[in-house]
Amino acid sequence: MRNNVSEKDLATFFRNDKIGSSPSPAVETRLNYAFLLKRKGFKIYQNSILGSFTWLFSLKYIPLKAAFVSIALLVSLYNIQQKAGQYETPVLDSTMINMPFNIDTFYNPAFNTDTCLFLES
Amino acid sequence: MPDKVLMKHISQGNQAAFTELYTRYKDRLFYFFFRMLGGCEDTSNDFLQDTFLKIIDKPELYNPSYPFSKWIFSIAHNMCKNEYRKREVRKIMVKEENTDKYLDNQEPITDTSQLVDMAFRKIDGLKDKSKEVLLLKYRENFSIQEIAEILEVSEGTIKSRLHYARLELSAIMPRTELKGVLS
Repeated sequence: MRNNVSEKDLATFFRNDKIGSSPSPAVETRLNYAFLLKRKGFKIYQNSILGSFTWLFSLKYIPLKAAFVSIALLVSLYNIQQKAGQYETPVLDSTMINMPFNIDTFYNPAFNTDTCLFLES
Repeated sequence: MPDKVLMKHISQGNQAAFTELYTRYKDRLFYFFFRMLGGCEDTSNDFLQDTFLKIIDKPELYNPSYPFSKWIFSIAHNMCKNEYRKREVRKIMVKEENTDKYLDNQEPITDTSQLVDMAFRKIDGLKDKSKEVLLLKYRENFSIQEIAEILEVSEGTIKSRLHYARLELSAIMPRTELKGVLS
């Protein structure tokens, strides 16, 4: 005689089972308190820069970070190239200027738009 | 609101979301621990608390691409497994003592609640793995695939465990007896 417990019987048996006790309300109180403490910590963490540093020095997005550093390095190398007049300090001291300051522009040389005339003079 | 969304809110520090999630799962998990850990109310409460403390501490461990119920029951399963190991080390045999006491009791029981209780005492006598598979399948309604993922074993193993669990149960509690409990 087949005496195996059927699937249907088992399902009914387990679903109808009442254990006669329920979770203690003290558990919920303790968990809510624990969550409150965690949430407090979470806000401090949110305001700190620790998260950014963690991301920066983590192994995530390594190709992206490497590309960014390479570009930054290239730009900095380009910028340190010497250019003419880069290190000359503009002089504001008028005692160093030998040319008299002429208010009357009559004595000034003529302003020639044609630069070919400069060669003649 | 789906469990996944609640978990997202929890990771952002939303207490109302946590309370909602706790309300949804407290009874299911309490029942699971109660049946898995020998029917001790205090132990079940402790394990329920520890499960949710894990969620509070590290909500980021939850992968939203998986169902939350599966994830939380896999936590519960691992906690029970650790507890069994501890009990093995301490050689606590409370379960066997209780089962023997009920099995030896030859007095006729007529009250339905007593019959159900006796039936579960017999189920407590099953192997832990068999009991767990029965609970997840028939109480929690998880599919074979889901149970396999929760217990981290193959689907074939789950089918085999279910088959042997039913055989084991039939041996200790015949169908007629189970029918008596259900009626």
